Amino acid sequence: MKMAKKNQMTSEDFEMCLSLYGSDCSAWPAEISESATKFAASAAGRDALLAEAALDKMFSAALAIGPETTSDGNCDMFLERLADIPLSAAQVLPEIAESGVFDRLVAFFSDTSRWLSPAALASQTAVFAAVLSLGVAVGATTTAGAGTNLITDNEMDISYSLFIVSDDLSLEDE
Amino acid sequence: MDSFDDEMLVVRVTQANRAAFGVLTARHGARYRALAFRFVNDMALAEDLVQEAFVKLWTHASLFDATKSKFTTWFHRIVVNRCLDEKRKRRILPLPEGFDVVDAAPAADDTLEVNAVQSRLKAVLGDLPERQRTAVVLNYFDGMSNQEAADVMGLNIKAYESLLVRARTNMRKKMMTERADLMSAFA
Repeated sequence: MKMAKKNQMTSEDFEMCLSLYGSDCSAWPAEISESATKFAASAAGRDALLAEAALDKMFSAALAIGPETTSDGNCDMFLERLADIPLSAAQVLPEIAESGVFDRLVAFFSDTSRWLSPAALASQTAVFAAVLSLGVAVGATTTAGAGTNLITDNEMDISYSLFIVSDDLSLEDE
Repeated sequence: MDSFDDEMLVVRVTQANRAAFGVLTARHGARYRALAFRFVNDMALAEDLVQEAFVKLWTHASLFDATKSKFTTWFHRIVVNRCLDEKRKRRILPLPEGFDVVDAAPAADDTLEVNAVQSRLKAVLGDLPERQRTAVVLNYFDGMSNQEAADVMGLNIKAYESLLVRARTNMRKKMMTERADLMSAFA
């Protein structure tokens, strides 16, 4: 703690020490005890010590009284009221239990810390392998059937029969 | 179940165990009522606020995480925050029309020492900033250690102790002013 001057205690210093160490100046740290005792003998010091004693007394009295003794003596009834709370209030279950499937999925995937768990990694590997296998199987099936299901250009062109082509024009027919 | 610690009881409360809840209310009800009273100076209101806090404990017990804090630290925070909210709310409530301001001083016929001490304490504490007042109530009246009180207020121990020292200094100044006023009145 800083002092205004060495071996000289100001009113503010004394007040602060009173709050820190209590009203017995002789029990304060050795380096300030002497100057504190000197200050305590002054008028300002005496006032501060009186106020400190009054404050202590007030706290002791208030603690001895306690708020219970000033009430209408219904502490037992109050405690009974508290104990009866479960009869009138329903417990709120964790949100996830009440929400729908979509919310549960969102909640599950929003927790990114689960993504790298061993179970999650195994699941991801299994899904990747399944998708890869499916893709390869579909590709193999399509290639194998390519020879038997050829579609001609004419079948693909739906405007084929609407236009006259050079094959239809024959001078010999005329 | 009386031998269970608070944290074990809360776990059972999450499983809708009424007996566990009953033990918690019997164990801490009066203490939290006393704490709330120090903040709001109104026993009926203090009881209502503590009841609300216990309702929250019953309905949302799953919010308590024993790995993060002790039950009493968590529940103190709930009660203290509820009390401070109530005080703020009451401070900004508009007065009804024709409202007569009630004299906060003790009644003339109120000579009981109990009331005198309570009134004086109320006046001294009432002048403190909210955080200093909370620090004092937790430390002096609720008997919490500095570390526990600092946890409840979300402060480190140094900041809490500094708050407490400032509060005590302010209270003493207030009492010195009162004494000086009294002396000058007699003079």
